Parts: sequence; structure tokens; C-alpha cells
Amino acid sequence: MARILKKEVYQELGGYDEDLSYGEFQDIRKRTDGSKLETKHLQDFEDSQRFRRNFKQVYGQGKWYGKTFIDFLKKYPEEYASLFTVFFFFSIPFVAITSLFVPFFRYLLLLQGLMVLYISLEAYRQSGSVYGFLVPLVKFVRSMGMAPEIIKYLIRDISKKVKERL
Amino acid sequence: MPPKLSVVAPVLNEKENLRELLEDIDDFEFKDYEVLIVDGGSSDGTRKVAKEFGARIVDGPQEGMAAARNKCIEEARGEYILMVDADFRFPDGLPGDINELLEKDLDIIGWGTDFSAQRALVEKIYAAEYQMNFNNTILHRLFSFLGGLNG
Repeated sequence: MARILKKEVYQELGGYDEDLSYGEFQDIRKRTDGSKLETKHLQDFEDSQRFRRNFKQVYGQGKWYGKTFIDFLKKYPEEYASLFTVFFFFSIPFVAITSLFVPFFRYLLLLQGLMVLYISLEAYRQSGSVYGFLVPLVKFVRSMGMAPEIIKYLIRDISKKVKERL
Repeated sequence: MPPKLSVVAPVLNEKENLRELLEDIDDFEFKDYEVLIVDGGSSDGTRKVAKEFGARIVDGPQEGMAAARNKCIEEARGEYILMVDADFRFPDGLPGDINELLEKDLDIIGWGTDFSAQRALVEKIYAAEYQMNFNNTILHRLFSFLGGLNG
């Protein structure tokens, strides 16, 4: 959702954090929420927004988010549960394939399936939209884009630290 | 004299979305605004659309959205900035009393979003996700708890 901010407020905040490609809007919101800034929230007005229109765009968004997701978590460690969520969805196909060979993984897959069902129901309940039932699908596609980028980031980060030590 | 409000949008190959956005902005009853488009190097005719609507166009940086948004802030001439993306829509214009609100010396003016404008199936799912508070789900709370144990 859009907001109007005084230009000088943006300048005092130092603008958007250029290290983030994930959550830069959220970052500004976190830095302004609870501040002493004079804020007015209008109850009787709404804007509208078009969203990602196909799964290719959702996947692309995930790839983009994944590039700096860890930077976002370093800045806001309280958001780490989101990292687990990404890997929860990312792991589903791997758990499914492994369950074909390792019987124990069938229990894990069942657990994941129940969790996905629960998220579907919860999304339907919270949004009041029947499309809420399909929310796990969007989360899954986005996570498939995000997780490999997060892994690449972590590998780069660890290699850099190892090189520094050597 | 600088405008009261700068409506700013960082874009990259957003021809279709930008046209719809600029049509909405063109219909604003409030007229003391400028439109600034920071273009990251579009090749699909985005600039042509922006020109058609009389928007000011500035070359954007290639270093991502946050850098492009900062360019928007730097280049905006208005006292206030409405930062949007090309996929934002204003079917009802701006709030009717926006003029008075902008004279009140407020720092931030915010509002909600109507999610009923989605047309494609994926958009509708996305909108449902947007309206969901995932932090309130058992899964998220479980992960927060597990991370908390480790921390």
C-alpha cells in the first residue's frame, strides 16, 4: 500500500537501504512505525494494486528477494522464522522424493501435507477469499526461487569468511 | 514554484502497468503534483508512455529498487512524495481532502488497499496471501519458537 511521506522525512531516514532487495518497503515502515513522526492513517480511503500475474513472475520475484534476504535478516533478526518458512516449502519436493526410498520420510511428508492444508484453511479464513486455499502454491513457487539464491548467498558469505581467516 | 506533491515511480519495462497507473493519476482532482518516472533502462516503450502523459523521466540506477527509489527521492521536487510502483492503482483518485491534509504539516499520510481489482488467477491468490497475517499461523509461531530456542 502506498503512503505519502514528507521529502524531508525520507532524507532524515537516509532513504531506502540499498543493501536490501527484499523488504525495502518494510524496512522504511519499520523505521517510521512507533516514531514520533506526525502520522495520519485514513480510514475511508483505499488504493488498489495489481499483483504478480503468473507463476513465472512469482518465481522471478522469489529469485530477486533471495539475493538479499539474509541481509534483511541480519538487520531484523526477529524475522528469522521467514527463513524457516522458505525452506519448509523448498524442502517439500525433496522430502517427497526421499520418501519413495526412505519410509521414515513418509511421516515427514504427511506432516508437511497437513501443515500445507492448515495454511490453506488459515489463508481462506483470514482473507475471506476462496483463492486463499491456493496460497501455499504461491508460497511454494516463491520459495523455489528464493531458496537457491539464499544458499548461494550463504556459500559466498562463508567462503569469504574462510578466505579472510586464511 | 515546486509542486506540493511528487508522485514518483521507479520502473523497468512496465509499459502496460505504467499506462494504467498514469491514467489513474491523470484523473486526480488534486492537481498540484508532478509525476516523476525513474527508468532503469526500459526497452519496451515505457518511456514513450511516460512522455505521453507528460511525466518527467530520469535515468535510474541499475543497482536495484532501493537505489531507484532513492533516486526518486533525490529528484522529487515536491514537499511531499507519494512513492508508488507501476502496479499501484488509484481508481478513486486521491483522498478528497488531500489538499487540507497536505497543509497540516503531517509527516506521513497512509491508507489501506482494496484487493478486489485482481483479474488473473495468480493475482487473486497473491491478494489472498497479502491479506493473510502469516505471523499468526502455527507454522510461523513454531519456527519462531524453534529459532528462539537456538538463539
